[in-house]
Amino acid sequence: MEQLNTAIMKRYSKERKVGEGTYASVYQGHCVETGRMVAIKKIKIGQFKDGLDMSAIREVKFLQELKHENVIEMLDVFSAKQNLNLVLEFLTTDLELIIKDRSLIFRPGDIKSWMAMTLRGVDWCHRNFILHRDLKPNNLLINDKGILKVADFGLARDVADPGMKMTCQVITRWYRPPELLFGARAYSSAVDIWSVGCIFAELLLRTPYLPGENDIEQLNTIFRALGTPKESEWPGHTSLPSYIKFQDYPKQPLEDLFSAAGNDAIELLGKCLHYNPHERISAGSALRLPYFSNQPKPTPPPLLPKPLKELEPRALPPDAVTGQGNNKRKADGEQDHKPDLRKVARKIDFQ
Amino acid sequence: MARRDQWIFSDEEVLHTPSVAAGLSASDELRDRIRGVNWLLRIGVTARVRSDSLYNACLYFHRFYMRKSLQQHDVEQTALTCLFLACKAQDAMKHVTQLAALAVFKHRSDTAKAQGRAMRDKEPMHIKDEPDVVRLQENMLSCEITLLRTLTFDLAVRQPFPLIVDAARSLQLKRFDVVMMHAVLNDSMRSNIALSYPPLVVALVAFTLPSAVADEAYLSGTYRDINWQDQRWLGAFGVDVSADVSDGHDNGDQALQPGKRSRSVSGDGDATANNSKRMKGESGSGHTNVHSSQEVKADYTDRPNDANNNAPSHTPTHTHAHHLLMDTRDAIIRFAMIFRYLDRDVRARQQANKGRIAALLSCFPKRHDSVWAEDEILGSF
Ligand SMILES: Nc1ncnc2c1ncn2[C@@H]1O[C@H](COP(=O)(O)OP(=O)(O)OP(=O)(O)O)[C@@H](O)[C@H]1O
Ligand SMILES: [Mg+2]
Repeated sequence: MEQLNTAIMKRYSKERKVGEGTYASVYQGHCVETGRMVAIKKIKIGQFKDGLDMSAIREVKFLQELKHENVIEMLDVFSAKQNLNLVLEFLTTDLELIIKDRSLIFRPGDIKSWMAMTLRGVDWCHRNFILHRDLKPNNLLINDKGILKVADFGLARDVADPGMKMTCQVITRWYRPPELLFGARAYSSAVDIWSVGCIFAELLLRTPYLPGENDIEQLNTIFRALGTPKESEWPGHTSLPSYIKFQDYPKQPLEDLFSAAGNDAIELLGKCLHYNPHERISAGSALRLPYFSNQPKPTPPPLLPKPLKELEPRALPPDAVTGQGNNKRKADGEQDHKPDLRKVARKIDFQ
Repeated sequence: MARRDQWIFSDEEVLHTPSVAAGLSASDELRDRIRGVNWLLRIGVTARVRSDSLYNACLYFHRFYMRKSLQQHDVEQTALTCLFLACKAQDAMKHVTQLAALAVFKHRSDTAKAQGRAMRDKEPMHIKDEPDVVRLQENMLSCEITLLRTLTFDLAVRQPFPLIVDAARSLQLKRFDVVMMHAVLNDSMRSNIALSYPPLVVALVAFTLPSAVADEAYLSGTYRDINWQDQRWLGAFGVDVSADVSDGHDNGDQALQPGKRSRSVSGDGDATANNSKRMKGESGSGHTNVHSSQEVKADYTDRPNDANNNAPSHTPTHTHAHHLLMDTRDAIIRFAMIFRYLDRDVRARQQANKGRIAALLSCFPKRHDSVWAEDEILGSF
């Protein structure tokens, strides 16, 4: 067994470090035999007392299940000193780098193309009963042919896990839906769709759409942008565990801020950022909206703008620096000896 | 990486495991597997492991011994490690120390009981720093990666239970019917039928068998009234039985070419395997009912391969149900093989049910070249 493991390890060379996440370091390498470029995601030592890291095991489990053009492909796995190493297809850039690269100009068809690829990847996850729970531009990686792939499944979970222990502290804050911010104990694939909506807005604006400083500020930011929800619009939200009353912001038409976007784009955006999670659109239905069939056609991936600069080590995400986002590992409730039941979801409610 | 259908084994593979190749008799192997699963379930239930994790752990265990021998890999340690890994993979971690301490504790209390003396320690966690526990814990951790690799990292398992819950709901059965089915499903983990058949067939075994092994008083009238000969009940599992139902168990014209025997969604072809994979749902409870019924459909109605390869072309839909029931019949026979290894009182009870089991089996079409001989197995427990 150990020999097999060593054999697999030897199959790959590890060259330079290209990324650093909350729970893993990512290296560029090659498959020695084929010369194919790969990424090696080395999980940082976690709960070593309990063997292999649980997030890593779950990421492996999900990636084994999800084979799709818009989901990152896992090629192999090996362990070194109680550490799991995931061998992934190498992806040269990510959507965050693209958005931030001011020298790039986005045509409407480019944005449509990225959105379609994102939604197809997310739809695939949801059809396989997997919630991603951490969608954000830097987890949408892009290969040299422009194909976008949903990556980073360290926080994903089965929709069907009879999840006693769902935590609402998932999803990097800016992309987190209001039901999680209000501490909803039951949540669904709709959480990922909210994140997709935020990403869409960010593609249109070229800057994060709802950047809250802390959880309360996040809700305030959302309501200022989209209007404070009424009970009629989102029944039941006032009885969510962490509900607090906010100032009554008026609803502003999305067209005001997204003036350059067409009606069909506004329709998609509005349906993703719908307050009531039960009425929020599904990934599958979103893909059938007129936006995707109307002109202009989505840009073919190889023609999409891409930055000249390749991935290089980047700083930890802002959440991790302040320590607030460092709940990745703790996100799995049972590792905490005393999970905060108030913050944990009891039941999943997949619409 | 791993092919999707690598975890459905042929009869030959099931009968010629690494342990058998290394000299163990088939019946000793079955006995050891049952011992391992019993141990796994005993520790798991005490540690309050969720039933979805328990199911996966048992399946990991059986799969592991399709690649490794019992002679070389300690049964109890493997069982415990399967439990540990399954909990992690289901996002419901149990600490290795807790499981190891519990296992050592149970062993000691068994010994104490056998010797008629009282236990010194009252709480498993009180012994957590003792050398026995520490050693077991270390062994489990080193076994973990071996296990993971042997399983080729395929940790996601499609569970039969949600299919049962859906079907029971659509037939408006009573809660206790489902409890009985769940009990049968738990027992089925001791057999290795999940190595040979897809989750739907395992679900069908658990669904039908209470009619033959459970006390009638516990079963609802609706359930007792199901006519197993009339394939229409399969509709509750999303199986299309609209085609000619009346000759459902006439197997004369269904004889297959030797060697080309198919199993329902066994993964004989890639398209089939992909299909069943695509709608994978995983659940330990009935939360995703809506979806799991779709899953059944995906498994059993979109099977272009099956229709092409194995079925007489004039009755394509009929054949799905037909094959399904042939598999179910074989699986029930194999399930019954475990009875003879169970405690004496259980065995005696099942002995009394022999007639009922035989009657149930007679409702299902028989596979002519089945290697699972009903008389031999039912005769011997
Ligand atoms: N397949 C890949 N090819 C190239 N670079 C990659 C690949 N996977 C990850 N990276 C780089 O490594 C970084 C961290 O990877 P990833 O997001 O998977 O780790 P993480 O620890 O889960 O991070 P996060 O902080 O987002 O939770 C990515 O942002 C990206 O820059
Ligand atoms: Mg990331």
